[in-house]
Amino acid sequence: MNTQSVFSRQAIAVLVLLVLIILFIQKRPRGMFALKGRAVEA
Amino acid sequence: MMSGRFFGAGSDRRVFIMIALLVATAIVVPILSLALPADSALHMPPYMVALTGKYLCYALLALSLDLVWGYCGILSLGHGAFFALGGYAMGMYLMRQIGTRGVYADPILPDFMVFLNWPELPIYWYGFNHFAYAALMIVLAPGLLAFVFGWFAFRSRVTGVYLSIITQAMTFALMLGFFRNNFGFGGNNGLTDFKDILGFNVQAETTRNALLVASCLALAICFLICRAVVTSKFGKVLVAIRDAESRTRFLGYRVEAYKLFVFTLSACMAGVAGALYVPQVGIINPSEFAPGNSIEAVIWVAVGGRGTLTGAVLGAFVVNYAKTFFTTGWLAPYWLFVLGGLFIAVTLLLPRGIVGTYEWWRARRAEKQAAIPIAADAPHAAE
Repeated sequence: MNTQSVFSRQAIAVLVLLVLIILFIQKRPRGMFALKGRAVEA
Repeated sequence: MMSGRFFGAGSDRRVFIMIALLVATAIVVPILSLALPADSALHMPPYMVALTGKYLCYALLALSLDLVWGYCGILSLGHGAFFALGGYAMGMYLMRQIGTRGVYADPILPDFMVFLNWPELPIYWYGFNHFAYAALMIVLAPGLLAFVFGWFAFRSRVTGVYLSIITQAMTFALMLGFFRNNFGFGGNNGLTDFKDILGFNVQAETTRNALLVASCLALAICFLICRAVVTSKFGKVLVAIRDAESRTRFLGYRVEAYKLFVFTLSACMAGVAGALYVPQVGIINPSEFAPGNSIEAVIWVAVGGRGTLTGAVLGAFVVNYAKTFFTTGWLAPYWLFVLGGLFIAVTLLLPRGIVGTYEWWRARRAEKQAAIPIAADAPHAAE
């Protein structure tokens, strides 16, 4: 039972991280340091 | 010129061939496996019927992926998630059909819930004893996820590799969720030990054949839907979005609405593919959400030729047949090398895929013929 909960806590942490990544990309669709200007979208 | 390349002259004939082949499969396979005696040389063993059915489901997944990637430029690396969700919806129906024949003989709770000492059925399992409800969920669950996910992603203008990354994150997150026991979908064992579908034994040869025919039918219908979409004016806007998204937006089209529609439609088709897959392979577990599966589906489309619907179907068959061939016998350890090599070879040598290259070759030949100065004959030559 104990190992199960450790595993699942780790899995939950990864899951939360993935959801945060998805939300972050919504907020900044081109990452933290996005290039600006006309040349970006060729 | 553009339309000539994408909805080219040869494509009508290919559509006809594709549909004819599907109809032929749906007729010939049941005859070979049911009507012929087991000792006949032409008899088709049950495993081959199931294998063909599985390929058909993969072809449908490839088709749905090609609709978004090949025609709208949305490279989804999480299409396996929609496939798996459709599969789980079907799996839940099949679990509820087991009833008292399970190991613990509980009339309502599936075995894994009894094992986990759950007192009652979770609310989201309600209704899955009815096939109609399950069938609705098969389309609705992946469709809704795609709609919500796409709504946010396309409105925020997440494109290109960033979209691929978050779709990958989505399927990975779902996999981790479905691995958990308290998620209520059987944890890492998934759903299996199915008995009946619509009152027929899932193991029976007749049922397997019926499922294969259903898969042929689903593939044919979805193929025609995809074709109707991509040959319409709507489809031309999709291709415009793929080739020059900003320009299409500045021309006044609501790019995100087009993308959202096609992404949701594609997810529904992937769900149907998953639902037909589960009774034929007899199990659904969280590994179906594995990112590798979604990437493999992308390879099928790339090999067959993205932006050609027949190519997606062909690619799924070719690669999966190769997989079956290479994962049996002494070749087994080398399959992943073959798959990787295949992807590299296709990208470098055959960037249009099999059908795409054929189309390109035909178009070039037609152009050469048209260049011969008998101008009056040129339109005929292009047909």
